[in-house]
Amino acid sequence: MPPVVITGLGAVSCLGDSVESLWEGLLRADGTPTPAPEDCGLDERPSVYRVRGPAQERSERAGRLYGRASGMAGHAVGEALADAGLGRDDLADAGLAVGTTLGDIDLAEAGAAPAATGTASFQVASAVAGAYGLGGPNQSLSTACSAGVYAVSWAAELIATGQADVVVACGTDSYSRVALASLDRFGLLDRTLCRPFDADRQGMVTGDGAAAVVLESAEHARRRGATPYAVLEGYGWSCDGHHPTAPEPSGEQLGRAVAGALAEASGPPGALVLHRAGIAVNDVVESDVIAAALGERVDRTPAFGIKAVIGHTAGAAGVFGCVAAALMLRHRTVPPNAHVSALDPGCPLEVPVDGPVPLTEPRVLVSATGFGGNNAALVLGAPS
Amino acid sequence: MNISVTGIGLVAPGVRGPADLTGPAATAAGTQRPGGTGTGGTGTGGTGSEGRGKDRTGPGGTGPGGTGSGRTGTDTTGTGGPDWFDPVPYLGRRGWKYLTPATRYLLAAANEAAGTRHGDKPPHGHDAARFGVCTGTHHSIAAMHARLDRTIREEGSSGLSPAELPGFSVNMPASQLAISMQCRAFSVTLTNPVVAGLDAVLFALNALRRGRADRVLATATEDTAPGSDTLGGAAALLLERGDRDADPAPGEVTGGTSRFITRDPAGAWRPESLRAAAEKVAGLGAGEQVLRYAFCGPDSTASVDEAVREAFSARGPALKDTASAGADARFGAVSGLLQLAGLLNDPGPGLVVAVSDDGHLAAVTVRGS
Repeated sequence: MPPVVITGLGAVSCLGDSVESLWEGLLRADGTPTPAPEDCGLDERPSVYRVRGPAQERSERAGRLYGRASGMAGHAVGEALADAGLGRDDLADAGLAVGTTLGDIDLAEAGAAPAATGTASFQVASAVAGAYGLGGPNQSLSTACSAGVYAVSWAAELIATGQADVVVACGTDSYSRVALASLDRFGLLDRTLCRPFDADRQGMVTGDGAAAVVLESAEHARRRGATPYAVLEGYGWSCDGHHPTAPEPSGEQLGRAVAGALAEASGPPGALVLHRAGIAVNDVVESDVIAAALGERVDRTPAFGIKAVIGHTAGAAGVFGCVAAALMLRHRTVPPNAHVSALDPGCPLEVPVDGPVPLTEPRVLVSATGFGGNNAALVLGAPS
Repeated sequence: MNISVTGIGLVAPGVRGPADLTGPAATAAGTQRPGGTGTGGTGTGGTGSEGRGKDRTGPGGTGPGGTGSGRTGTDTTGTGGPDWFDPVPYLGRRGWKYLTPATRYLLAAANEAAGTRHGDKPPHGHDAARFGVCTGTHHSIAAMHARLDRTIREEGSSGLSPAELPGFSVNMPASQLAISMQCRAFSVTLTNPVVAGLDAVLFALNALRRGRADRVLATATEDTAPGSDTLGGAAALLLERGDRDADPAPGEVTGGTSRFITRDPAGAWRPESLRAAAEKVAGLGAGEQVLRYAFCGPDSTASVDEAVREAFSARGPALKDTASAGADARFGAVSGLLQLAGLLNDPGPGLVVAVSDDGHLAAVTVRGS
């Protein structure tokens, strides 16, 4: 694959409206959720990692109403483009790949959906492309909670095949009453805190947020003098084809995705950004698959669970994983894992909890899974 | 690397098979955008435009009724009434009760395309790890989401049925298809309005060319949605790597592109963005003398159609209009696939361009056998 690099990062999370606030929050490892809105429809309001402030507000442009997911995505993409040093004049042929599970679903749940245009909630891609003049290839992808990693790897496909020199990959999702109640009905929620590596974890905690990365061909970045955060060394996809909501217990298909990503990488990973959300049955499959892929390196490859401090941000989760991985490469540091009172005794991975640890190799593996058994993994490497 | 279309499945109101997509019967299935401008007469010495700008009757009228495969429901109007689709002939009597309508349509269309029966074991030689699914949809969960939200507000989560809950996730039609037909290369859903079906074809085309799969079901499905006049239905193309000389296929997918056309603050298309998109589309016709052409979009996209025609007029090849179901985009993301299927029904090269009101453009070229 022709080299594809990441040259800009953006993030809107409960930790703040910038990549800087995200990284500081990851290092502090103290992010906690708050109760869901009063109209969540559930007797005991579950916890949610919510974004506050202007970056998540609805907006109206050219007579069209945009919801919270579009607002957060627009803010994250703007930060990523500025970080990459790209302005509107550079973007007429730049592409956009958006990963989202429900888009601007808050409009529908508030009875404010733009019915007059016949447009459903999936309008984030047009909101962002319209705001920044991204005129190249434009797709919105949903593979449930792995959509972010699919968006990043699809962006790389567009570059590798010459369809664009620059593609922004963005993941975004916002609080949804229907999603929260559905997850509650499935018994998948930890109602207090996301603690994915804790022995007493009870499930996931949802979160708002958007994250963005600017990808471009290495040659394009070199020509304009951009300094990459990372090289996208490889990625792999697979589908369990097993069950609508439960993972394939052997992990064979997730293992294929992980193996595919590692096979394209220049060497072993020095850290892991896991999908791990606190749902025991899923956590076990992922950890066992990755431990098997690492082999004897398993006890010296630190694992990181980002959802403990920003929640499960659904379609944004994989892009948050990529932003965190790029920052790990930039700082040569792996943040500590939050909210671990007693480490899950069944986890075969190395899990730092006392403080940041050094990155052992200049590569980070990011893995993602989603409802329907949609698996994806990728490896980011430090630029040479 | 040739990408062959080895199977086509169509399940939509008034559309029972490829024969319903073109010609007089297709009028009821939205072959033309109502109120379009019909520039016509473009091309560089070829046949130019045929049929645009005249007799624009728009949607409605009478559909082909039960004249197709005999596996359809009771719709005889082509307007997608609630009973137009009977799952039993496609999916059997059991196992689909808790699947969403969009999932049922998709399973039916995909099995038609693959020449399989729902629930059967995969055929001998089936390589699940090399078989992928791409599905375009925009409206498939809106109605269910509204219903679930109402239940939650009135009864709390205890009123929700766990059996049907997975349907709240928009990727679930594709995931159910992947489970049903043992597709383990990938299962990806694309959701941009109108163009998502063609986006699915573009994703599949790329994946096949890049060797990430050997076979891909490129599909689209929609459900009716609150506040929208989009019709339910599904379409599926089975795409495979390589030539199919031993087993003649309906045709092949030869290329495509995707663009976003920006608007100015007043809501008008930016001329430079419109021109760039049209030029990109016109580049897909290189090497052809005449290209059968089908445009798909709501009224508000007529000027994009005109820009594409203008670009072809300047550089060729000549466009030959091909009326096909889906021109008015009332089948949502399925519209573009219906038009591709219509072009594949006849020999020669063809182009479908789909455009949404908010600026998404997808174009796919095919060659019918």
